[in-house]
Amino acid sequence: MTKRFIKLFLTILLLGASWNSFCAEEDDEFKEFEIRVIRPRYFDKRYRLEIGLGPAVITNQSFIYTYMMSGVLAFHFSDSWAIEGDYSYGLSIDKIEKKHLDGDFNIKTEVTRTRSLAEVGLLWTPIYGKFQAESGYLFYSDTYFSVGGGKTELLYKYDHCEATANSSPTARSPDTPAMYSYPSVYLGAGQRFFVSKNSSLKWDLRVNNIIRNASDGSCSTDAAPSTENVTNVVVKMGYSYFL
Amino acid sequence: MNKIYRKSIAASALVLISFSSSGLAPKGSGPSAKAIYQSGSDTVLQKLFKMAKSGVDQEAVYYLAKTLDRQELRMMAAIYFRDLIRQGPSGKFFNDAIKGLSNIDQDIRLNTSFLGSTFRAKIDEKKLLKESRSIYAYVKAEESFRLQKFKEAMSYFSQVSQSDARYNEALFMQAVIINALGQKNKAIELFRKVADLASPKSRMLDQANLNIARINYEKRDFEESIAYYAKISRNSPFWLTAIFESSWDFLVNAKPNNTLGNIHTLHSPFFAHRFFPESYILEAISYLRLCRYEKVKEAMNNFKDRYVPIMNDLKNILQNNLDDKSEFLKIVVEFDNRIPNKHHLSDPIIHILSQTDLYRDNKKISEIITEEIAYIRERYKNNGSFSSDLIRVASSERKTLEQELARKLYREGTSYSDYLVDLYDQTKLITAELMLGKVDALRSKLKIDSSKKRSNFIGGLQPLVIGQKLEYWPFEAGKEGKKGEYWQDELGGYVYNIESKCS
Repeated sequence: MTKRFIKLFLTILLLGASWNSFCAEEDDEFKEFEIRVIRPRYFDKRYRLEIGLGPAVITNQSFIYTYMMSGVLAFHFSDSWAIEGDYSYGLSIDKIEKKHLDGDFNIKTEVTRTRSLAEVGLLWTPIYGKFQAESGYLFYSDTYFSVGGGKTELLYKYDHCEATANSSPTARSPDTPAMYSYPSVYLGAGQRFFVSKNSSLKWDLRVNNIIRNASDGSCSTDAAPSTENVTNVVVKMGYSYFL
Repeated sequence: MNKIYRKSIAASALVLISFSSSGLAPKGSGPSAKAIYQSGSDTVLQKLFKMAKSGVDQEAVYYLAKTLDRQELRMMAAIYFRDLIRQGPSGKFFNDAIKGLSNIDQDIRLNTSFLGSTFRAKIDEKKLLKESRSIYAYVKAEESFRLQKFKEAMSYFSQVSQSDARYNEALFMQAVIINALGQKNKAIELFRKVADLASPKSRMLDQANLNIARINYEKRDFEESIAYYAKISRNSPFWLTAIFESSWDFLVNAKPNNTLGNIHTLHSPFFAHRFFPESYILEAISYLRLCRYEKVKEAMNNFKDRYVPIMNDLKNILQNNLDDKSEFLKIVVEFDNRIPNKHHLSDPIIHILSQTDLYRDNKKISEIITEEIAYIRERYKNNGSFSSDLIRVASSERKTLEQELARKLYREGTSYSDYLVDLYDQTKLITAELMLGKVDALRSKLKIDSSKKRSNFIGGLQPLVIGQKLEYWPFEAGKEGKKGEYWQDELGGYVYNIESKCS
């Protein structure tokens, strides 16, 4: 009985100490200043679910444009840390340069078309601030960094391969497009601009690294497998609502 | 012969009577005022005005008022209704005139100067009709309150009907009286009722919350007092008043850092034109509590630098306008209308005077009269003497109201001047006692009980809630006597972070 009581007492003591240190930490902010503004935080993300939607663009592709629609679901443990899952799906359009190369010079360019991204990551938000426009209008924002990984689907159209007229059983052609999934990792950064106590506009930049088997995109199924890194720079914009 | 003669006389009389009652009287007697009013012709107003000119024909005055009301010349109608009421309850149209005046009051809210002069004659209240009672009761209540006959005022205010547009004001005044009589809890209850009935974001709502806060301060329930001050929104004209008055709550609640934080808002450049001289005294007292004597002297010097020129300027203005108070009113009007190149050092006080209900209500009525004069001038421009005579009546009324306003504003200005002089004397006393080293004596006068456990407060008059997420922004103080960087959104949120230097 005494041992249980001592254990309970020590637990409460430890919890209390950690709680106090948390409080003291907050009150210590700008303690060297004689005058501070202390008020409830404008936007409190703790224990809130974030749902977002918005367009995404892959910006570093020479011969195609890739546009996607992206949905986000995140849970914020605190104002600094969150876990986020997002899914993007889209399509790719050939650039005029690709068509000219093919049409005028018979140069077939091999491209990797990203069809979808499904990723989970960790968000760290170290910066919280406010901006004042010339009109006096004030808006709050935060800046975050993210890291994570998931699955990327690439679509191979094999439009750089010959047509099927003299095809062998192992040949791939534009008539037989295929989709392959690969693991991917990313590093990112972004900002949220809070438009109300429950919603924000955001932009996000990610460097997505896909680890693919290069032979999946070759014109022959016999090609030797080789691992290749494909890097996509994805820019997203969106609107988020916090529950 | 006699029979025939008598019969013809009787017949003529009958004809005359029948013509009179049908409004088609033969030449010499004319149609009745009611008949002219009912005819609805274009010349109704001119005819009735001519009939009513002497003021003797009450029917003509009454129907003139109704015609003016019908043409939406409400203030002019009110003038004539009032004239009938002033003639006393023996008049045939006494109750109808009260009803007419009451209807106008519900729409345009006549000011107290106008209404106060209405019920001059002695009235047997039992003979008043139900519809007339409310406005009569309100006017009599205001008069009793002014004469400090509080019980009588209470009785009259409680007779203002619930359907009357002034009902909430009457409740408010009852709460004020009850509080003055020492029944604080009942007063709070009534002020809460006023707040419930008031429109959101209305002055009445803010004033009710302010008064509940003040009563709680008197009851020494400081946390409840601060909670009510916190209900005044930032956009309210009473927000700074709430910030200032809650500073006293914080001081007496042994929280000088919150007091100084509030005062920091009041002293920001955003409010350089606002009038809170007592804030410097409060600042000095807070620093005195913290034994920071240099800061006490600084506060006193700041008061002198800022408010002594205002005090002297106001004294000069009042002295210069002692014989003609309308010039003083002109200064207030010029400030209100932002006439360029018409600035005075005492503009902070002129600003307050231009925001009083007294000034604003009178301004509204004056503007209505001005619009009505313009309308008559335009509408009846080909009716020479009629329009100028009618305009003369309206102008005379406007002038009377303005003269009374000038007198009352001058009196208010004088009380502000006396207030500044009194505060200046207090600062001189504090400075003198500091110089003489009578610090302990000064501090002992501050009866602040530090023993009770009290809640902590963050900025914006908000209590600190455990687990609440806060944001901190530092205030960058200026160098070499310059003001620091003030952000508009931070106003009201300051909390000082200084420790006591008392040993």
